[in-house]
Amino acid sequence: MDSTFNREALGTAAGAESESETRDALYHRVAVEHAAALTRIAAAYEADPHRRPDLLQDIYFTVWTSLAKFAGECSLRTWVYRVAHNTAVTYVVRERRHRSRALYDLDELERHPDVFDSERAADEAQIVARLEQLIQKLKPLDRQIIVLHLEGVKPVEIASISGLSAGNVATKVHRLRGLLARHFNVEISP
Amino acid sequence: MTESELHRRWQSTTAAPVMSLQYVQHRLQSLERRARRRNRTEYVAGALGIGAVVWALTQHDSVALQVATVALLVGCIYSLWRFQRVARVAAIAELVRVGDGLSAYRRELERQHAVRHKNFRWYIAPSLPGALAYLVVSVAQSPENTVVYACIVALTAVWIVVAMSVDARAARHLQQEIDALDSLRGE
Repeated sequence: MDSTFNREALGTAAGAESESETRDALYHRVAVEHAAALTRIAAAYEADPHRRPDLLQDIYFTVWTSLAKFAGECSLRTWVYRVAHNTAVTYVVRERRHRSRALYDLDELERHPDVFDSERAADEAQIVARLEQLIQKLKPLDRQIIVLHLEGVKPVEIASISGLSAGNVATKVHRLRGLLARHFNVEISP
Repeated sequence: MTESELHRRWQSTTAAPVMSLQYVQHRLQSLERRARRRNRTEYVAGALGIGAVVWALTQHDSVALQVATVALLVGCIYSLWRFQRVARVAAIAELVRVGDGLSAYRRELERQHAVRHKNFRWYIAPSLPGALAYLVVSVAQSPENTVVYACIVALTAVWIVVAMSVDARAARHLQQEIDALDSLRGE
């Protein structure tokens, strides 16, 4: 869904609204349109379900704070994804000091597929949980790309959110699709 | 299973409760309160520490020991100030990174690299002149304790070397990761 920020879309009285009211209105829009995606982002970056709400709260808090700077130069979705991923990445990098769990980049995961303890896609009910497991093993940048890809974000927008060149995003998405195909018996569409 | 089916399954997860605006405001106030409290505590602890050293100075008869203690104190204050600047908890405004993911990730790695890279320059070097002066004066005043002082110096040196090599290794890994990120943007 394209949710390009348009002050007029917030109502004709938007011009008269104070900055904080506009921010609150935008926050409500985020809550309505992107709550599920933000929940999935938190799940992708925090494996411990008990700690996940903390990360999600950090994300909501940072998104709300960031909306004071939002001037509509990109879509609200792009903005929210950027801020959410950046918050989660900062969280992962800082948590890495306290946890010894190794993170892999795409190359390593392709060379050593056994690092992901896959039982193949036998139990479909577990697919989302296993997807989360796979994602949580990736380094932050690859994690961002796969989450955005699964969210259905187009490569051009992924490039805008992640800061990678369009060529790099295309390469990574191609390889991630291969990875998903191998681990989840997915038929790749051309 | 098709690719779109996998995407559909991923996107079908339900949303966790959204943080209400009231709670956002509450959290903002709580963070600001905590930052103010932390600053107050640091200033009070700093003032108490300096006060204690000043008091201790008045108890020394030796001018050389007083000068050494002052030099050590100045070094420690400088190191603490640098550490507070580099490693402090980010202010609320800094929590918000609205740039692209690559920049945000790189900045976080750079911040950690700055803490680790050649940190002896600001956490050991500033205290070194004072510590050495203190040691020389102490040995001159009580030569019978030279062996004890030598042991302390040796243990401290080992600790510094180990800490520096651990930090240098961590800094190298961080730099490699930063370089890898830079190559991604350039292509």
